[in-house]
Amino acid sequence: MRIVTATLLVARQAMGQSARGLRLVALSLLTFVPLMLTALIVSVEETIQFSTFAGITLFFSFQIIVPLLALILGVSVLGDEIEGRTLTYLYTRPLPRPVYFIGRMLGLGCFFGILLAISLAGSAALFGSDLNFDARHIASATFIGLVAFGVYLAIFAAIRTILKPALYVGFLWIFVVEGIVSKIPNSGAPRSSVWHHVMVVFTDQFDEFLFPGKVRAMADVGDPGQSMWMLAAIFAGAIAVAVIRLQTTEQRLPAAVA
Amino acid sequence: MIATFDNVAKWYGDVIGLVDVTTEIGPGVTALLGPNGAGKSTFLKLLTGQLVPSTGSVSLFGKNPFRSSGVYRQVGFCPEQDAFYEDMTGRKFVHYLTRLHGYGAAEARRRSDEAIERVGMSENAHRRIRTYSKGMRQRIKLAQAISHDPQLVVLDEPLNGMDPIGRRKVIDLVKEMGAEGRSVLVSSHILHEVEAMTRELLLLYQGRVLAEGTVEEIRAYLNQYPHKIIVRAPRAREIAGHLLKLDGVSGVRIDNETLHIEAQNPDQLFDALPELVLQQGFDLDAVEASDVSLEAIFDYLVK
Repeated sequence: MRIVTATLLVARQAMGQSARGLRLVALSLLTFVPLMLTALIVSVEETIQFSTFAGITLFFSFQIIVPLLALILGVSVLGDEIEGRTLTYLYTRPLPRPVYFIGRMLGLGCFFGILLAISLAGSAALFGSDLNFDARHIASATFIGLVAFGVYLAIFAAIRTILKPALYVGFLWIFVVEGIVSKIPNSGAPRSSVWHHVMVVFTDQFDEFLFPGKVRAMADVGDPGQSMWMLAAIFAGAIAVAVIRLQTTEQRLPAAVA
Repeated sequence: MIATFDNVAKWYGDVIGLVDVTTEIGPGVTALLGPNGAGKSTFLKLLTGQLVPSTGSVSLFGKNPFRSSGVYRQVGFCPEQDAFYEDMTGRKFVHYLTRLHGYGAAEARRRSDEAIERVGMSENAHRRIRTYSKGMRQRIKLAQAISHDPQLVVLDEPLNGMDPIGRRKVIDLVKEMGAEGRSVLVSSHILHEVEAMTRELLLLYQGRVLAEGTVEEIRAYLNQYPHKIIVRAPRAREIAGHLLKLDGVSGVRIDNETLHIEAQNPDQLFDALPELVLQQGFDLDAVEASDVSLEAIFDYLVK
């Protein structure tokens, strides 16, 4: 119980830390890119097709914003505490070190969920009610976004516990592994992409409000059950790597050594 | 013993942190003293389980501090670095960290308010930390280290950047905690600060323990060096003549009415002085040992 309470406390602190200052502005701008594009289209187009909404809003939200935000927030899961040198305070509390990792991931996940829901709801509201994109869809889209975000976040946060230049590695992951490599036809390469497995798992939901037919065709290459296990395994594996790393690695002392 | 270091060495690649340190930390106030780069922070981080020894072992309350996070219930650590959640108020900062010790909100509030009061920060606790002066930041950092009533308080350079009043307050607090029966380990590179807090020393230099014990004990180890004693008297030259006849006195320098005496056996000198006064009728204005200060001891040790 004490560990659960501590995890929630750390989550709340991480959320509060993110929801202020320049970071809030930068992350909000990024999350609201679809909303801004929507506003731009609405101002020039008289009639808006659902495919425009899906193409602009949902495509940007899911395929670009989710991994990018997960990368930025993922490297800051412990990066903030390491670079701010406040990790010392946490490491000298009577709690296992993974509590801080899990707590901060939870807090950043909630923070992202709120931003994404606001962005999607704002876009839907701008396009108008005739698009048939209601609160249920927004909740469903936010949930899918959060699942993808959680897996990406775990990967990038785990990378940060091993490598300092995790941001660059993350960019390579997003644009090379998730981008170029996963597009190699008939190679089985899509299976290396988190995004691919998310699409396979949530094919029905995607077909309901995103590229109808297209996702179904792409998702046909995979088995939803298998992809769900794959996502769970990637998530659990990343968390395990981070936990082992935190439990077995000392906090370095750059200032003292220098 | 609260903490023990057994043949501990710590290396950062080619850089030496600590070499072959074997020591024990008991109750009361102990000062960890040494110039910058002596290995004080490494020592404290090893003690508080933030670093792992390259060789040897560290034990805190009978456990390996790196592996047993439970020991932190009894440890309060005030790090040297000026690191905070800048947007938090001082009160929220202490409260948050106290809650992570497992206290409920109300109990953590009571304890953090008490700690804030103890370091004299009650009036400013509502302000954001980013608006604090250096001294205030040091004190709020200290509050988070004592709010959970730890048995061992580890303070890394706690007086850095403090104004004289804050300094006095912290020195008094350290002495108070020592008198309460806690173990307090304070690191500093400023000797007179340490003297104001304790006589128990652990001297580090280039990663090694140079000496440990009370100031007086350490001085006694150094008997191969003559003790320096200053005597102020009107007839300095005549007194010097008498003193030089004593076996234990190896040299006397006269500076106006001040005698700078070097004595291998100061007790013999102190016994002889009253006799000289009585027999020869000398007046003595002052007699003082000039090298029991930490500066002097440190100078001797690093020679």
